Amino acid sequence: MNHGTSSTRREFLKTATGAAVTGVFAAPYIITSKALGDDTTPPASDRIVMGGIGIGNQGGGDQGAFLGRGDVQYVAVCDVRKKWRDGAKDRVNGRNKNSDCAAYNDFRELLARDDIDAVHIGTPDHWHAIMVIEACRAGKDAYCQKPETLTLREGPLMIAAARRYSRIVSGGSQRVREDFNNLVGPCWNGELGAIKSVNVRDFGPLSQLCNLPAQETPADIDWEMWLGPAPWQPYNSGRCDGNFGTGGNSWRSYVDYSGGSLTDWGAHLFGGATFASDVCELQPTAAVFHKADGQLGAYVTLTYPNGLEIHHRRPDQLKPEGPQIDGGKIQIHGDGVKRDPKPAPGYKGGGGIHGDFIHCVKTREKPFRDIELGVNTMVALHLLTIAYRLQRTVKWDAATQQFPGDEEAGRMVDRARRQPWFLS
Amino acid sequence: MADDAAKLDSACEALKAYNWGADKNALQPIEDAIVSTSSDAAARAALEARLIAVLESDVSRDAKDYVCRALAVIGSTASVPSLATLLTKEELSHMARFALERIPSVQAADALRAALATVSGDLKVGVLSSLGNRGDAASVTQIAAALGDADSKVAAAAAAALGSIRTPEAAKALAAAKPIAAAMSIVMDSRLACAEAFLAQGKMEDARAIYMLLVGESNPKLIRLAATRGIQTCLEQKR
Amino acid sequence: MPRTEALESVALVTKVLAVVKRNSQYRLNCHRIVIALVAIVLAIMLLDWRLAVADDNQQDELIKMVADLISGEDKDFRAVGFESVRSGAKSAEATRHFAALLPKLSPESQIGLLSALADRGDREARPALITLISMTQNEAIREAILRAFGTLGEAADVPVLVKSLSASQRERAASHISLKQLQGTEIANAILAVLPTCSAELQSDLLEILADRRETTTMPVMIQAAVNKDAIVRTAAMRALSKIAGPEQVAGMVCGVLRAETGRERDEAERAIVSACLRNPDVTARAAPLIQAMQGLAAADAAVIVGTLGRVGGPDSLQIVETWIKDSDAGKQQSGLRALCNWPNASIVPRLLELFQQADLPATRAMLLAALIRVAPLPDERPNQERLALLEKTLLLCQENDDRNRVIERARAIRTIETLRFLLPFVENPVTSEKACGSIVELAHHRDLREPNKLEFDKALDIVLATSKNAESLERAKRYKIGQTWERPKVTSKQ
Repeated sequence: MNHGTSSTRREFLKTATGAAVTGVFAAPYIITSKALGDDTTPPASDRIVMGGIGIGNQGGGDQGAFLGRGDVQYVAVCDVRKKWRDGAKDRVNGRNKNSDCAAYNDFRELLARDDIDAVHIGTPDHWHAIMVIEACRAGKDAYCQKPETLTLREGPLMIAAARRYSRIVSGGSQRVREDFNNLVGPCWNGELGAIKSVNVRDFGPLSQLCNLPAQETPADIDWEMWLGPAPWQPYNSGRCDGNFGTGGNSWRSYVDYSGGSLTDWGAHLFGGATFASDVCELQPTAAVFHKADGQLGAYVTLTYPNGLEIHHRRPDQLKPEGPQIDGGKIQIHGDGVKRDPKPAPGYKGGGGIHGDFIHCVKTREKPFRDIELGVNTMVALHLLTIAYRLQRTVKWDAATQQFPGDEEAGRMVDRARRQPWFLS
Repeated sequence: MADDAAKLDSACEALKAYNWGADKNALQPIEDAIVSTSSDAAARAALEARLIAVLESDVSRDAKDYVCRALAVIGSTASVPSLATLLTKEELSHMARFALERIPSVQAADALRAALATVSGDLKVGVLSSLGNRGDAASVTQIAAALGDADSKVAAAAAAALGSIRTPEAAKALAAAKPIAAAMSIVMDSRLACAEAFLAQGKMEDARAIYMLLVGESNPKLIRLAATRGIQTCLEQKR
Repeated sequence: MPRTEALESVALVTKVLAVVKRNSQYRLNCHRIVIALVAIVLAIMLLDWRLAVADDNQQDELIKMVADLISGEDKDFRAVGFESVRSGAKSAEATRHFAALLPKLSPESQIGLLSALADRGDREARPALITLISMTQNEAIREAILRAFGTLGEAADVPVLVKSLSASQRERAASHISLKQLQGTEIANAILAVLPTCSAELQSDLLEILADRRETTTMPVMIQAAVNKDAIVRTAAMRALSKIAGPEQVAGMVCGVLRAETGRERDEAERAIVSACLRNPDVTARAAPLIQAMQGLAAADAAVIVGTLGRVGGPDSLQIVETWIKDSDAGKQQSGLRALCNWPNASIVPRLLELFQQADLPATRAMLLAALIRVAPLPDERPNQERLALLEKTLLLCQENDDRNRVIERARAIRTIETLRFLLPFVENPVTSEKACGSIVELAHHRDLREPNKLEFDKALDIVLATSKNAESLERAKRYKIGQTWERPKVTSKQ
């Protein structure tokens, strides 16, 4: 098999001319100093060409991080809301000092571009899986904001797509590596001994059904595309505005688009907890539901194959004795028997989690928050959610990705998507 | 308990008048009943019957939406006929599938399969995807028939559904497919998914046979890359 | 079926055949049975041999395929090959085969293969690394080799890595990581062997590395280094000890504190001893080693260490510190007061308040007030209202605007809506306005506080936007108002 040929336009042009050509192949072509690069900016041919999908609050932050990098050429934005789309486009043009940034309403048009190497995705959660999978199928690497999944079925399909097409797919929680260093140190350097249990203090709530009244759909939003695979419901600004609110004033409050704060903050906190206790690569075997008992509120314990227990809002009265670190939101108990240190994984390349992604796009190594690790955290959170909704214990088989013998819980593994969207 | 029954009655009445903007807290007793009937088959069946009655009556789209969500959790074969009638309705097809996709009974799959002959366009895409999501091997022949549909979305959905089902029959159907150009990439993607299923089952030769067909120069680079990776994975597996 | 067992089976069958020969009654049928048994055994042996050959062939085919891929021109196909190097073709022979490709590859491919071999973790690749690093001056390749030593290297590679700590920034960074990662019981000794010949800067690096490796057997060397003539080495030694030392090292670390120059170095050295003391699981005995170490010291040295004792806290420390405060010698009194002002928690507040009321000297009052401002909002078992009430009480003691501003700044440690309300009036005063705005945006940063109190925070942030001249406060206020996040600038460990 001949691996020397390449069918992408950029690579073909690079092979044919040996020079960095970014425009239509026509003569005479003036090679600009920007294309050649300088001490701080690589030549255009070595830059990663990127686009962004979903450039609202968090997506805007990601755009800023990628746009600020000298080794990224940012060329396109996509958002179904005109104000976000125009604002994102203006930021790119302002940075690039031109008016070349393309702006799309339909993410498929952005993904269809041959020249784009990678995308970052900052839409509401109900779009993440479809967009990541389509990005992989289109040959793009993807940086996807957390929570990476809305249902249990989505995760394995996202991982499969990434592996099938050898794409770099990173989840987006920077807090996993950056917010919990006071826990990671003592856990990974062996000072705490073997980790026996972790408690993640209360956060929530779960998302809820949305029943807001209909409002007139503004002209500047493509409501059909905003909804995408989610059930059709009439436009209301409270459905789609806001970003982090879970009190009923933003999409994150509602079950069709999000898992609520449980998965939003949970992605950070459980991401951090599983990283510190070194079970990132595992999925829980059960979510054990503890009913409220007098003064003690209900809580859930996730059990892991190595014996570790991670609790969600375990009452303080049940805190075990022994060596522990209290990081505020996360408490970790160990057996105190010192172990050999193990170097904790970190970002590759400079520039935080965004830099880690770009480094891995270039070197094809797995990123710090490889999609499999993001999915494992989401499995823990979805199990928590299901245990709370059913108010009982559920058992999980990571090998088959099912609740063995539990039809009721099994129904909550996924949900039908609104045509014409499908997940495969 | 009498109090709970009265609250449930009240909630079911409120459901009949439910619409967007109404107070969803009025339906909380239904949510509570869904949880509390988890181990009471008779009570659950009774609740299901009440919800089916609402679904069949002249209530708002939002009320039917709510019922379908509830039936996704507690629905059984009893719900299938009412849900099946909604599959051809533009506004309610999706929510009917929302329930049918989750109801484990054979009749639910039968209803979806039967609807293939009566729907087209986006509705057909939806029904195909639900059959795929159910992993319904019995539907392979009917799904395969849609591979040649002139509507590329339908053809793509059929290919995706076969890729989700991933049986040897599905793999054969995909191999024989001659879809329109717009659906070809999803056909190849689904063939790769079938190969991965064979790998997971230890059927190296079957997997490798698919990869060898996709690794040729006439295929797009991304497919060749995936096939190459697949062949490598086959070689890595111990016999 | 293993071949030896098959051979034994054949031997057994032969014996059976011999028995049958002697007994003619069963000769004909038993012959047939025995022949069938022999045929079965031979078939199994043949199948076993063929499977083994097939496995070998498969392995060979895989190695060849991977070699072709990683030698190719296409980055994506190379990456597929590297995946297999990382986690497939699991044999030493395969590792050697892959490693042997290194010299023939392009620089980009060499770097990719080095990374993949490092992840593979098979030390069969090590000789190829040693050969390659002697042949290349390409910085990126050298960086990749040095990085690969982290998983593939041995104690014998320590000198190369240490030497590279003085090379380019990329090589230095890679060597630093690898020196921390190297596995083996001899690594610490290998580092200690080169330590004396290194410059002060390199010694500083190596001490940090030993601490991060948790090489507790090297603590005597660290204690020795804590009194080095070079401040860089001393500081590094005490930093290293702060990470791993325990109560047993406190006596030695005292020498480090006394040798440290007054100011930042002394401050850091004292904190290092506190870390060591706090590692004692027996809370009641944490100050004991420091108290014991004080006993043999000259007066001037004891005056330094009593300040450190204050940082450790606890009833035993308090007893000693109070003795110093009540001493007739003014110098000892001041040392005792300084120690008290170093107290690690708010349990000392009543005593601080009492002394504040009694103090005559402005400098003493200032020191006590600064201590009150520091400890009042410290997180502990006290309810938030109590912490805020104490801070408000401390505010009333302030006569200087600088002190008031310190109180306003410290308020951000108490994350409640009541703190927001406490801060708001200070925005109107030009002298305290900017600090108050800074504390308000800091409170707003925390979503779990901001969101449930959105209306109040929005109003407060509007006030900040209308008042503040600080670019960071304005940026933060804008972002929090629309629900956006704000990322703190990174602080490096050496800052």
